[in-house]
Order: sequence, then C-alpha cells, then structure tokens
Amino acid sequence: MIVVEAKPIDEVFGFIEKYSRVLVLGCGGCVTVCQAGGEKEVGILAQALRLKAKMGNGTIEFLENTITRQCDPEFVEPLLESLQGVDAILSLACGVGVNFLADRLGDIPVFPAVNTTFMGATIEHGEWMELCAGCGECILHLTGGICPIARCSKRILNGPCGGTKGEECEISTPERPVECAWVKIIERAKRLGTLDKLTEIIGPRDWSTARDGGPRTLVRADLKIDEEEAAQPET
Amino acid sequence: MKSGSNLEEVLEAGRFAVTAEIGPPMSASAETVKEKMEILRGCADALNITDCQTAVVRLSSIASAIMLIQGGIEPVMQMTTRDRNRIAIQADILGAAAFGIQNCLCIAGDHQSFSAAGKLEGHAGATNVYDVDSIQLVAILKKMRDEGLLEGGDPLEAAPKLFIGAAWTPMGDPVDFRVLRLGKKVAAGADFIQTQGVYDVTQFAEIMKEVRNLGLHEKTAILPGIIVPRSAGMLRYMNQSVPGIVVPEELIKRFPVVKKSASADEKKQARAESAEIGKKIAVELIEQVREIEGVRGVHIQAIEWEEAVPDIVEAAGLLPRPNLSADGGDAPRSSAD
Amino acid sequence: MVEARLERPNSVGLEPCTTCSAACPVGTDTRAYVDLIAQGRYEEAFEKLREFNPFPSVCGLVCHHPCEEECRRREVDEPVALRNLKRFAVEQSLEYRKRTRTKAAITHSESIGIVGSGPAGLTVAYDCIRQGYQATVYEALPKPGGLLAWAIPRYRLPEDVLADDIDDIVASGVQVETGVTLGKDVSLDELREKHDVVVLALGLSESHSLPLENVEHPDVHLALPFLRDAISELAEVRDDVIVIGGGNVAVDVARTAVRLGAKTVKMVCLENEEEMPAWEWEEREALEEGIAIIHRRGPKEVIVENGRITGLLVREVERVFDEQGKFAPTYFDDRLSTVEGEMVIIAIGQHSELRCVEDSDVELSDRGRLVFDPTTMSTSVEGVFACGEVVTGPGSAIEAVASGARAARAALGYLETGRLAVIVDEEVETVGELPEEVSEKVQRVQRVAMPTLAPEERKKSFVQFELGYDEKAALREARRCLSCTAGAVVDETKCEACLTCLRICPFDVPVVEDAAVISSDICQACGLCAVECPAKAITIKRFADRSIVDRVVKLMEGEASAVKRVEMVCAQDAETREELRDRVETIDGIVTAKVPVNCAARVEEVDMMKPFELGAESVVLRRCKECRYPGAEMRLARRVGRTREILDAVGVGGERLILE
Repeated sequence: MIVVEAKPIDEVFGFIEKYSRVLVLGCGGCVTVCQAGGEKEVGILAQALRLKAKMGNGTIEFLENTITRQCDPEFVEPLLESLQGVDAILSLACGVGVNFLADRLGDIPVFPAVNTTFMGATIEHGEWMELCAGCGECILHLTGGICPIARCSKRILNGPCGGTKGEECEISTPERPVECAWVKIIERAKRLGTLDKLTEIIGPRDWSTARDGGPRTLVRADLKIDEEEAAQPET
Repeated sequence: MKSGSNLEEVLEAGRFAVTAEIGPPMSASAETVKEKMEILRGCADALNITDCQTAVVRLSSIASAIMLIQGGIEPVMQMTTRDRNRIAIQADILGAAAFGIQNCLCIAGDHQSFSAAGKLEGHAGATNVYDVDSIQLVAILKKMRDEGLLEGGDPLEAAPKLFIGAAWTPMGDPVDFRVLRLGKKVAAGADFIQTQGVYDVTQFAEIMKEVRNLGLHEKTAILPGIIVPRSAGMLRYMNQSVPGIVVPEELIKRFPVVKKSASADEKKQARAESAEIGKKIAVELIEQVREIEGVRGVHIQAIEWEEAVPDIVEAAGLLPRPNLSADGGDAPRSSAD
Repeated sequence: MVEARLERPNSVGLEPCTTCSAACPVGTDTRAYVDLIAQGRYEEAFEKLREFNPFPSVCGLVCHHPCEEECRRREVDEPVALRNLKRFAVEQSLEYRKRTRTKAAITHSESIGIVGSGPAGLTVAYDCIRQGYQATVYEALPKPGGLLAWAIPRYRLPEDVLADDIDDIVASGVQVETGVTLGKDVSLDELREKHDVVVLALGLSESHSLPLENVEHPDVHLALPFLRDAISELAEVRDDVIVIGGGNVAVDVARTAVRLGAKTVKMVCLENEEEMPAWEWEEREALEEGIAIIHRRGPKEVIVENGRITGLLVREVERVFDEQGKFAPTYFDDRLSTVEGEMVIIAIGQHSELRCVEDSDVELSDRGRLVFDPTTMSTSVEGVFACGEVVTGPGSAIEAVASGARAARAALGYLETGRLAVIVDEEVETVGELPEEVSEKVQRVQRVAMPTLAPEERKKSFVQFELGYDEKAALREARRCLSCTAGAVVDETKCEACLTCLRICPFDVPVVEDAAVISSDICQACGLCAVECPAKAITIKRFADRSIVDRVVKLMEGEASAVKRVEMVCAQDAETREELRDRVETIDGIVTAKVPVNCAARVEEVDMMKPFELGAESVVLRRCKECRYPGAEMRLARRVGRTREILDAVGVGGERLILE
C-alpha cells in the first residue's frame, strides 16, 4: 500500500489559517490502513486544528468527511458538487489524492495534511517498510523477489557494494536500521538454489520506464469504455 | 597492452606494483594536490586520487588527475556512480582520456548521507544518481575501449585507452559471496583490483585460495590495500565500524596506550612512537601479502599522512620504482629494486 | 386454522439470541437488564424485567433460574447470579413501581374470564387487559396467588413481596373475585355466558395421598393443606416429623416443620441423591438446617401404637425408573426397616381438582385430565382455553407465566379472528459455546455470594433468610456479565480490512477476509476495536447510546464555561449509582464534570481534546484498579501520549491531560 505519515500540526495549520471554512477530507484507501488518513484521523486532526484555532482566538469552521477513495472520479465528483462555502480543503489522502482533487477543484485550494512516503507493506502493527520503487519494469525474477532498486540504498543491480556491515546497509544506524538488500538476495538465492544466477552480470537498465522517463500514464485500450462502440457492439 | 599506462606496463612486466593515494582538498586551490604529488613522486607506479570520498565535495578526481599528468606523474582516476549518470561518466572518460589519463578505478561510492559526519554539513539531501553500478561501469569502460562504442551503442570517433580498475572488499559481509562478486568484476572487464585495507593476512590468504581456484588471479591483477595505522584507536575504530576491515588484536596491542592524564610531552612522545610502529606494521603487511600467490602489488593508503609513504616503500624494499614507460619518470630514489 | 407466531424477543434485536434469554421460558431480555443494573439504571432494569413477566418480585426470589444454567459465564468461572440481580432491581424500584401504576384503557367490549389466580391465570389476565380487554379472575381461596400465596413458605416468598406483584396486576384494572369456586359458586356455562372467552388455570391444587395402613390417623397430613395452614399460622407439629417425598414441595414441608419447632425432621424418598427431584440448592439448604434425608426407601405402613404414631415402616427401593425412564419403582419387599417419628406428612405430588367441570361440555380424558391441544391452548370446547400446571403438569412459577402468556395469545387471537390459531414458538438460534481460547483470557471474578442467615438463625422463624444484595454487591456481580451478542458490529461498507481490530483484540475474536468479521458469539464487548479502528467502521452494541464525547458536550454546555475540569472515570470500581451518573461537582473549588466510562481504554483522542475546546483547563482519565482487558491500559497510555503531543503542538500543553 501507499504509506503516508501525518505532517506536523503546526505546518498544516499554517496552510489553512487564513481560511474560514475548511473541509478536512479523509480517504478510505491506503491511508486508512496505515492509520494516517481515515475517518478516525480526520476526527483527530479536525479537533486538533479547532483547538489550535481557539488558542489563537481564531474562528475557523472545520468540516469533516471521508470518502471511499480520492483517486477515482466517481468518488470525488459527488463531493465536488457539495462544497458550498468551503474555501479550502485539507486532504489526508496520499499525494495522488491531493493531485486528483487539485486537477478538479477550480478555485478552491487543496493542501496536503500528510507526507506521502513510499509503497510498502506492514511489518507489524505500527511499522511499515518500503518494498517497491515503481520502476516500471520489474526485475524481481532475477533476485528471488527482493528488489534491489527499492531496498538497496544505491540501487545496485550487481551487489553488494563494499559497505555491508553484518546484514545491514552502510547507512544503517540504531535510530534508522536498514537491511542490506543484497545479503537478503544472496540468502534467498542460496535457499532457492539459484546462487549461480547471481554471478551473471545484470547490465545497465533502462530507467525510462521509471519516473526518470517523465510522468507516466497507463492505458488499457481493451478496458476503455467507448460510448459509440457500446451503442453498436462489434458483430 | 590495453592502455599503455605505466601501471599496466609494470604489471605486464611481472613486477610487483605499488600504488598510493592522494586525497584532494575541499578547496579551489591546486596547492595541496601539488604538494602531495611531490611528496609521493617516485614512490608508486601510479597515484589514486579519490573522487569525493564519503560523498564530501572535494577538488574532483579528474581535475586532480590532470594536474598529475601535467606534473609528469601517472594518476589512477576514481569514478563513483553516485554522482554522475552514464552520460556524464562517458563524457568524463572521453575528457580524461584526451588528457592522457588511462587508469580508472570504478566504484559505486559511499552513500551521500555520509557527507554529513563529524563537523561537516555535507550534502545529505542531494539525489543519488546510481544510474549504473560499479560492475556495469567496468563493462561500459571496456565497451568504449575495446569496441569503440558508447553504452547506448553509438560509435566513438576515437576510442579511449583505458586500464580498468575495480575495488574489492574481500572480507566484507556476506564473506562467502565476495569471491563470486570479484568474478563478476573480472568478467565485466576489470584489469586490476585494489582492495579494502587488509590487516588479517591469514584470513586474506585463505580467501586468495578461493580466488585462485576460480583462476581469477590470472585474469586480473590484485593489489591488496595497505592502510597505514597511526594508533590503536584508529585500528579499533576501523575494526568496529569500517565494513570489511578486520584487525587482529595482536596488531592493536603493539601500540602504546596513552593515558588521558599524560602530559603534553608524554603524548607527543607516544604519537612519535606510534608513527614508527604504524609504519613498521605497514611494511610487515606488505611483505606478508607479497608472499601470497596471486598478489601482484599493493595499494598504500596513508590518510592525511602522505609523508609516511616514502619511508614505508623504502623499508619494504620497493624502491626504486621501475621506469618502464617511454614517457619517462623521475630519477629513482635509491639504487635497489 | 391460522398460524400465529409467538414472537420471542431476543436480546438486542439481532440473531443470535443470548443463551440466558433463550433459556427463559418467557424470553426475558436478561443481558439487557443486567447491563442496565451495571449502569446504575435500576428502574429501567425493572421495566425490562416485567416486559414479559408480571411476576418480577416473585421470580427474583423463587425462580429456578434456567437462565443461570445456560449463562455462558459458567465456561469462565461461575454463572452470573441473575436471579439475585433481578431481586436487586426489584428492591430498588419499589417506590418507582408504585408511582407508575396505571390503569389500562379498555378498548374492546369483549371480556375474558379466568378461573384460578395462580401465576398462569393472573398472567393471562394481565396480558389481556394490556391489549384493552377486560379480564376477571375467579379464585376459590380468600386471597389470590395460587401456590405462590398458599404453598411457597414465607421464608422463601414473604407476603409483601408477592403483594407487590399482585397489586400491580390489580392496579391495571384486572378484577379478582376471591371466594368464588367453579362448580359450586359459579358454573362453567355461566362463565361462558358472561365472558367471550374463558381460560381455565386451575393448577394442581390437591395433594396426592397414599393407600397406606393408618393413613387416616390425624397426625398424617398432606403437603398442601399443611403448607396452607403454616402460612395461615394454624399449623402445629410434633417433635419428630417424617416427610414422605423428594420434590420441592417435600423440602418446603420439611423446612416448614423445622421452623414450626420440630426437633427432628426426616425426609424419606424413593430416589437417591442424583435422582431426587428437588432443586439442588433446596436440598443443600435443607441439610444445613439439620433435616435428614433418607434415600431409596418407599413407605409401606404408618405404625400406630396406643393411638399414637411411632414411625413409618419402609421398604428398600430396587429402582425408581424403568428402562424407558418412566416412573415405575420396584422394591425389595424383604428389606424392611422402621423410621421413627410421631407425625407423617405426605408430599409426593399434586393433582388438579376437575370435578368443577363435570357438568360442562369440557371433556376429560380416560385418565381424568382435561382434553387439551397444546398447539392451540384450547380445551374440547371452542372458546374455553386452559393453561398452567392443570395442563402442563408440575412446573415452576415462570413456566406457569409462560403458559399463561401463550393462553393469552390464543385467547386474543380467537377474539380478533373468531378462529383458533396454532401458537408457534419462534425457533431461536442461540450463541454457541464460548471457545476455550476466549474463555481462558477472561478475567476471573468470584461470584458474589448472596448473604444469608446462618442455618441456626434460619430455623427459628419464617423470616426471609436470603438477605439480598446491597448496591456494591449488585454492581460487582452485574459487571461479571459477558455482554453476549452486545459487542462489536462491523460496517462492511467502511471496513478496509486494515487488520487493526484483529491485532489489538485482547480475545483474538476478529477474523478478516474481505472485511473484518467479529462474531457476536464470542466478542466480549470491551470496545477496544471500535476505538482503534481507523475507518470508524465498528460500533459496540451495548455502548451505542453512550458516546463519551456527546456526554461531555452535554455536561459542559449546560454549565457553559463554568466547567474547568473534566474527569473520565472508569466505571469498573463503582459501588453506587451516584458514581455512575454523568454529573457536575465542585471538587477543591474546581467545577468538575464527571463522566463514568466503561472502560477507560475506550476514551479516544477526540474525547480527550474536546473538553479543552469547550473551555476546560484540565482533563483527567482515571483507570480502574485492575483492568479486565489485557493490553487495554497500554493502548490507552499510547493514545494519551499521542494526544499530549498534539496538545503541546497546538499550544494547550500536554501536561493538562492527566492519566491516573
């Protein structure tokens, strides 16, 4: 899932302090699951902002709502039709949601209440870890399912570098422990009996499928709903 | 001959090679490089110039290498993949070759977060490029040299002459994979290898056995790193915190223990003593690794202590350095080899 | 014939039903009244009790509590003392019930005539009058109540307690005519003339006798007349009394004899200890009072010498029940012995007195019982129904009430449609057994014992020997309830399967596939999942009307800016209802709003912050002494830590949020 983290309240308040009717908008997707942007967190943030406004003798009205997702038109459009009097939106969705709203909002500003960090999985309740870099061309079949692009600090494809300490990356500290992805890849290869594959050199990769190639879109022509075709189906 | 560099010639001639290292300053002035260059002149077959080591901005390796060329000393340029993409790397290689720089050490480079250590602010917030890794870089250089092609496939009007080097951390974790990875570097085209500092010669010798089993020692010239120790503290620190450095306790014990309560004079005395011990240990290490089959030279690093290198090289009987290059060099320091 | 479903209320309006409620013959919403008691809402608990049972006072003392037999708490330690709690709620509501007595409005012209004012008959009357039909009850004895008034000893059911229930029934408008005997003072045909429907609730009013030699001796008595005399303070006993029989009536007789001054009382019964039909607690209390129970002996002859009884000749019982389990005792006729005694009371069972319907069209079977269809509650005569022990055989008070309720349903259906209806009992699905993985995690709390008089004290008089719970005991006991089926409900449209509930549940109840599934069978209703759910997809049934933040707002708005401190106190340690009320008090000069919460770990971040928005200067969370939910305190501490950070960040100051 996309993992996000709440922005400091001061920072968030700074975005909206000059408005008078702010909609605090949550999302029922990933951000609910990682405990940062669902209905509960919307309630907590709205209440905190009310308190802060009161401490500053301000009067800002905070409305609360949570929609199923902020990244599909059918969920966002009904919301947009009912924004009477709202002069700013504070979105707890990931950056995708904030962008999606911004593209559709006309002259109402939208601000991010969270920092979108990475695509990751739950290690245990309250701890998440980055596992995918969205590079656009998956090479996990070469490394036993463990991604060197997401999980090696230097995204080395023929690792490990000389910095490995035990099983940890050279940048690992007690405050921020980081595993050496290549130690894991090698261990896995041993268990799967594919160690000899790791002696083959993986050449320089084509990064154009990643963000380096520019912002990406994906089109599935077979899925697109063509009004005309729908009216006159292929015989 | 792939490049015709002095280092390559020495190795081709079957001689025991010596390389040493210069760390450039955080300065726009050429002074320091020139000073260090002079201290080390004649001590080695080529001098490495580090490339923003620990991601700290310093006078670039390529620029320093040019200064060495202009001063009549052969450089080993270092190139990390942390700071440049393949476009910049290849352009810099072409530029370096145009200045006559022929030796290039390909490394990934420390993560940029290391630049903010100690008193330094550094640039921990910079992007890291890592467009290619060190092994892919070796292969790129080989392709430029041997096929006259850029990585993308476009032909070069003139191919660079390169002697391609790579780094090796024989005792890094996971130890059992390190020889296999050396094999990948060799397969990619590494002509010579400079290793992380070796102190535990016994363990290194064991590892060299495996290297020989795979025949890698014949395909590439291995130069173990000799980091000149200055104190027990330095050795302890490296043993604990530097990946791939293992220091036997006996070596650490050879240094005098200096009490914090000691007088300034006592401390000065201890430092002088330690310096001598350090140099002696370096010489011993050189002699020991020289015995190992497959070791074709040494790479001496005296960090911010370049003055120690001439003494060490002399005491190890490595002077004068061979003068095989047609470009000539300086007069030998002593008459013995 | 039409079908009429006899609706059975289940606990909270959703399947499945709690085991306690399903076990109750009238379907009392047991979990609900226990929860109301635990909240200090005693009068509302009382109203729950009499929703389907017009005899809450009586049942609080004499019910055989089938609910406790099925209480799932027995899978943890001991069942909740449901009857004792019922009694407590009744005792707390004496003023309330008197104050709220109302006469029912009569909205129909038809009337119902009921013969017999025992629990069955009076229930029929009460149910009918609440539907707007006039009901008249005809009772042969001078006072209404049937066996409740004339057989159950006063140490078990004091006169004034029974009166509380009967007075309510009479106050609703039911007419009770005492001293009227069917077949003598009025005939069945006359009743059918007078009323549109007649219900026979004649009970089992006659004691069985035995064809023993010397049974006509004046010191040989029958159980029911003896008990009636004792209640009327007319009974006397000899020093050494023998009671024949092993049922509840026999035990009542024996314990009555003790209190009347007998020096020895011996019960002689056919059954052994396991087979003995009296309730286990009755048997135990009887033994405590020094009554001897002689098992496996059948009476043969009353021995009379010189005109006085000296004992009872008995023979050893071979077995009581045959292979089919039917009552068919056999004896060893050669193994005879004598039980010494001066007085014999026969308490082997009761039968109904049906001569009263001899002259009517109501048919009797070959065995002398009413011809009766239990599916329609009808006798052989249309318009004449029957209920209670006269048709069910011996049963408990609550079973009589249930029977009466069925008969009322039948009678009302007949009055509305002119046709008989088949009364169908709703099939009830109950929650299953509590799995061991859950029951072993429930905090063990000893059942609060009912304070009783010592046996030596008890024997001296007919004073009520069970003294009742005080508030502290009742609240403690009520909190032992596991709140079956009143736990978490997941809104699947909001659930994101984030797994939080599964991870933090102290009892490992949730299962997550497409959405969280929290089985109402096993959820312990602690409320932690609802608080932690990031999608706010979970509500807890039993807390549905008790939003903490709403209650805080209510208290604070009423007092405007006067309230400076808000205390949220865990209700687990409360000993009085006062402690369970939302209220504003001044403590050490600080106007304080007190909100009892169940449990403190249910207080959320928003609950902690809201008071500051309304002008409070501090918020205190007070935990109970020993939290019953593993991990709850830790989660609360984390939540408090986070809220403190927020309060610091917004300038209120985290130190104003105090966790005790």
